[in-house]
Amino acid sequence: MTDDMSPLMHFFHMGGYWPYIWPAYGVVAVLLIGLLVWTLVALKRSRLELEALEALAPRRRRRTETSPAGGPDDAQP
Amino acid sequence: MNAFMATLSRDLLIARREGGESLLAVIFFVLGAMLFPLGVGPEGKLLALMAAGVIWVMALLATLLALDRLFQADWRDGTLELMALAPDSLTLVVAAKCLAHWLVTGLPMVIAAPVMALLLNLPPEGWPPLLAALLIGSPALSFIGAICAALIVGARRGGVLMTLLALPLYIPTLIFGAGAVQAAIGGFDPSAHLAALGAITLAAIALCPWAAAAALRQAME
Amino acid sequence: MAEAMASPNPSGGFWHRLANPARFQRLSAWLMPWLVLITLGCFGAGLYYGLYASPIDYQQKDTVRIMYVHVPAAWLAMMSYSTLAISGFVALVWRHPLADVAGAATAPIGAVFTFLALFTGAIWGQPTWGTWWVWDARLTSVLILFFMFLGYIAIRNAFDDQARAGRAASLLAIVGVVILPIIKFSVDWWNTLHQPASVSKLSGSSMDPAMLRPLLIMAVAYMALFGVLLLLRMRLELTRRRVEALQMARAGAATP
Repeated sequence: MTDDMSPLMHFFHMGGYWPYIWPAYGVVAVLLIGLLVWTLVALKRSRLELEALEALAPRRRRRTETSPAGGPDDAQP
Repeated sequence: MNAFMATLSRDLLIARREGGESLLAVIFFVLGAMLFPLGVGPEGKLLALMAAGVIWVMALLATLLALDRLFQADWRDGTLELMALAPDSLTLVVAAKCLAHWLVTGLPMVIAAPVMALLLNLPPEGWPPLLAALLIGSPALSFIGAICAALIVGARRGGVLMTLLALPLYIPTLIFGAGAVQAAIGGFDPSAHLAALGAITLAAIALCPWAAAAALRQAME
Repeated sequence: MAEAMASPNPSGGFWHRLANPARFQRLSAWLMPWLVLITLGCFGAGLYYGLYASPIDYQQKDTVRIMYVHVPAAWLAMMSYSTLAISGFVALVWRHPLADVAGAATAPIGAVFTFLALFTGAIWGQPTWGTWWVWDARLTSVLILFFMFLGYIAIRNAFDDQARAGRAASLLAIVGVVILPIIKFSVDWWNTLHQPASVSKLSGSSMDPAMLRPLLIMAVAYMALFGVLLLLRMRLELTRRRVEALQMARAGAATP
């Protein structure tokens, strides 16, 4: 049966063990790429949050209407 | 040495006043053993194969059950901070608490072990090594568990978390403890297992109080 | 800790200067492209050799190819835990502010690698030994390691006070790494006791050099990916801490 397969099919067939090899490699790819993507998304979101907070920080006195309390003791992060 | 004896007698006194703790651990110990035949069936041969492992696992769990209380009460009422500030070494205090814990929880389990062995159809060759292994190995459980109790003192849901942390650390004790019994049943000499168990316990007694004291100091920073 | 990060000792050593988060960001930005390059290159070459240009095992046939994703995952699992322990040690002994960040960043990465080692190990076991799970020494040790990672993550989340969480987790990592060899030793002994006859096929005893090549390439690929993920997650952790600090400062300033 394996003799009349094209070389590509032969490759995917993996000697009959394709249901083991491809899921194994597949889960590795999914989880590693997933971890990477999740990290990048969270990093982006966190950076946006940081920018938003820093824009509101009282020490940026360029804005004419600053936050009400004026925050004298702006804690340096 | 003074702090050691003072803490030891104090903890033992508290345990005696609270009464139930020792009994509770033993009841849990035996009750758990009872569940296994109910779960897997009463066939004698099957139980005999499982007995050593089941008894040891129940010993681990029963120790963990009582470990929660090791530091929590003293933490809550501030006694722990006083102990840390006192000139005597916190390590000695912790060692005393571990010893008290073992006397109250571990030793009764050793005494209850024959009952467990009976219920689980442990072959007669297994009884002496079981008692020896529990006697040698149960202090390790108290001392190693103390580190985990110290790490989570003051945390929410600390009890369950402590179990998750302690169980991997208990695995060597479990392997050699149950292994000693299995070896004897199989006709082999259990002394290598018992020696390894003894080494674990000695190392635990020597090192764990120091590590637990370090964890307590980190908690109180 | 905030003060230490704001004004590092300029004449201090490399690690002291690295404690400045801006410097760390610059160093990690410089490192990142190289790591990404190595990662992509090695995964490309590793997959080519692993899936295509390497021989099949005499007995395991093609399933030996799973080894090329399983064994490096197990190696990285151990490397991750070592990173946890080292960062914990540095955090407690030298109070280096980045050490705690590194620990928090590594934990989920290590957990993923450990899970992958377990999953691929199970898949490898089915055609090799006919069962989805087998209690051989390596898989059992990796399973225990998985729970040690979960414990580390759990203890980090158990405290509201982040400093306390960091100290407890650091101590746990150190205790864990000390006991890990003992656990491994006892599991090995337990395994030989109960399975005397079977030599662990998963260990790949006599390794054909043609099989060693994809294995090592994939190992380097995994390590480079670990570096990428670690740096990214450290950036993430640093950003999150700054956000939290700013939020707390705002909350403090806003009280009437």
